[in-house]
Amino acid sequence: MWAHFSGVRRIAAVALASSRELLRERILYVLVGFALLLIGTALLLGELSVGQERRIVLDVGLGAIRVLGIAMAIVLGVRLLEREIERRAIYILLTKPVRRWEVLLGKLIGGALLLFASVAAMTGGLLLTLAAAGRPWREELPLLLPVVFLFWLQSLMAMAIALLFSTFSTSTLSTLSALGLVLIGHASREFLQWAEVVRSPLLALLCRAFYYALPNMQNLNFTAAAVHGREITLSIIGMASAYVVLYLVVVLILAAIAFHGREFR
Amino acid sequence: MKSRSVLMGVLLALAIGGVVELGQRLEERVAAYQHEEEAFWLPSAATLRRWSFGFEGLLADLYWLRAVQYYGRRVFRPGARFEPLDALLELVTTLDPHFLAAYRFGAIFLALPPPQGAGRPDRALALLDRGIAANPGEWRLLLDKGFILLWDVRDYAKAAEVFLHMSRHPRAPTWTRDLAAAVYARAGRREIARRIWRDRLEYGESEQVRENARYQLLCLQAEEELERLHELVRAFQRERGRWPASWQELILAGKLKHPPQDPLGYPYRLDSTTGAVRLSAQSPLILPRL
Repeated sequence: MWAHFSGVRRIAAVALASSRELLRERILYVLVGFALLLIGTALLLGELSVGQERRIVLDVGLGAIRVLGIAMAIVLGVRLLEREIERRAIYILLTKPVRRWEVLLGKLIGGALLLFASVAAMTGGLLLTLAAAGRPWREELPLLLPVVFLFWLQSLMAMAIALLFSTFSTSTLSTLSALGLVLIGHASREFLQWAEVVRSPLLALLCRAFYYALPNMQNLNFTAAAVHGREITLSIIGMASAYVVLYLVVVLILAAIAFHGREFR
Repeated sequence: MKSRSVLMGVLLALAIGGVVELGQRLEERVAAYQHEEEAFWLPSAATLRRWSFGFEGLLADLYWLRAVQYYGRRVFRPGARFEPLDALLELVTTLDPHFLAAYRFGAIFLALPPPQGAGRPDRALALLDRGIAANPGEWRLLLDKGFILLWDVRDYAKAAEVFLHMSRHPRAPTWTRDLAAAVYARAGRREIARRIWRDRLEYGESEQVRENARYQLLCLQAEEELERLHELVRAFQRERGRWPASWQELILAGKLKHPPQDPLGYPYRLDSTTGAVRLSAQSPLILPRL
């Protein structure tokens, strides 16, 4: 039966199975619940500000979506392979006529779908909070949707990095490494600035290499633009999406190389 | 197998090239959405901003809440001091240079005299100047600056200049020109005030605006006449050693041709015990207007 599956169908099957499996992860619900709670508390904080309810709700809400979205992405990204290995299902999976890179891609797509649903749920919570604060939430949609879409792309990068680490490392180390990379990715511009001030050309080259190797998370963060009512142009969304897709390709190839060399006994 | 490895290598190289190229382009485009005025601010605030991991907006909110709570807990308390308020507001506006409420309310907190505020209009003006530099599209910051100069610094001439500058802002409503004219009049710069009111009289957007301009021009005229009359009364006092009992005495002394009237025809009042010259109680003109 498997032999008749085309590559796309095989990847789709893995993606679907991964989504279903990840749906059983309790941590997912805990994080989404926590995010919704945090978004809800923005109402209280908004009350304490001087006429700044909208910006407080948006800053806290978008902050919660971003932080917990990335946390979810890292945890689930590590769990994508870990579950298979823990339950020894990986042995069965690898005996099927499915390539290893197809397994990785399918799992990433499955995780991405689930992340998409989680980000959508959290965005729904934010819109409800805005409505509860008496804000015209429909008017905020054109500002918010591109921002949360870019957050989703951010979390995809985080998930891919976690998946990459999990192909050759333990789950704890993978989680910590991915978290570290993502955090540094928020300040990757610092490397570019250091590259301009260090005297050694080698160090400058190294700084530049770090800058390009790290996921540039800050270029996908438009919270301030949304808060100040500035719309994000389609060209930026397109460029950011292309950047993330290419970054994912690089990470997936590296993950595929690492996963290909791994032996399961 | 070998061909697949080559293909993967090529794909990897292409993807890395794409990431580098797109990363650079994205960086340039995104710069317009984010703020890079670190050199303008104190290093500590700049460092916090740099290491805020993209949460500068959220941090700005938290520090703003802290600033509001800090102010709220101390305001109206005898002997209250507000030293860290300036630093807190600077932190907020460094983290988010477009946080207008922090500039506007913060300037009020700083400018008000103790115990309502920090009694530092100089710091309030500095805060607003930073806000104006970071938000050239916000004429309201100029309005706040003008009011602080007017009410707290009592520098009418500077306040008038700021209001006039504000009135030329493309987004400023037309009434801001009226405000500028009124403050120029208060500053004693009647010529500028008159030019603005004449302009409003000619090009005002409604009959109400034009009527107000006409009224203000009459007030300016009355103010000048009052000053002139007061000078005459003082000259009389210097000569005779007493204040004139009535306008008639000044007419007999050759200083006036007839009892003076305001631009609306109401007689000016002369107080023979103090030498003060005033408008008639019946006159619809009201001075000063600010």
